Amino acid sequence: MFDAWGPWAWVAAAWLELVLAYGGYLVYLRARAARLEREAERQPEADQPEPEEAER
Amino acid sequence: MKHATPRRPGWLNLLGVVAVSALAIGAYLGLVASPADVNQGELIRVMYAHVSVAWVSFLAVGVAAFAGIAYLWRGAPRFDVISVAASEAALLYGTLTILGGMTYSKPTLNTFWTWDAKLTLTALMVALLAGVFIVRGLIDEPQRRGRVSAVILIVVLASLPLNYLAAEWFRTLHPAKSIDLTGGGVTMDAVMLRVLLFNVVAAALVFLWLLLQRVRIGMREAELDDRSAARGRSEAIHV
Repeated sequence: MFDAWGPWAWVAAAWLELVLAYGGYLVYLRARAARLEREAERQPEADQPEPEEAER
Repeated sequence: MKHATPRRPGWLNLLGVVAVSALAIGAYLGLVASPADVNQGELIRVMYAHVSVAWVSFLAVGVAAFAGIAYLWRGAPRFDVISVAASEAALLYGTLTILGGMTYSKPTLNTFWTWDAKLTLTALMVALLAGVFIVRGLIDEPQRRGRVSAVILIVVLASLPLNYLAAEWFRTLHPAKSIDLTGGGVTMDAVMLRVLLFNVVAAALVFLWLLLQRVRIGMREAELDDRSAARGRSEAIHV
């Protein structure tokens, strides 16, 4: 299969690997950051008193 | 109560613009401006992509291991966060080194892979970096998790000089170095050398940008874990 590849096909493949790897890792980082912020929004502040406690 | 979503700081976005621009310029230099090689022809353009990520994989291992050493020494959780972030980048760059090497090797040496010393040591480096994450997944206690992964990273760091010199000591498939940092000088065309060094800098800038983003995520995770633990303690006291 690869015997038919010319030099520029190999060059394109090598540089495409970089683009895909960097792009894929960036997407992973964005997804992880977004998931983290969703978790943070669900989590109440520990240092804030609960409403009942504050009333007392 | 809702937490305000921390915005990415302007300087990190600026670093991203600089890193991606450097990568684009490096690609232009490697794909267009660089002359073809006398022996390898256009295939020399694969070398710029392959060697730049290989060098940065060493840099990433260095950052991960030294942050691990700092964690062993000082015990501050931020060093573990930096160590894990750099390990993740080292795994990315190490994997890219192997893939790029295979892409370079097939058309020039007519094989994707052989178990020669340098390739085997690089594969071992990637396997150990993957091992860091496997081991971390198996250990619940944060301090022990950080210490064990730091020790693995020190072993990976110790293998780097051998990996660097392997192409000279064991002359099998992998070509000898064109830039010898041990006093052998440079046996590369001056234009090609400049294009290579520019691509190394570009790959290092992308590494730094990815690393800092990953460190921010790690710090935020640690902050939320602490908050969650504090809430757990507070609930236990109330019960």
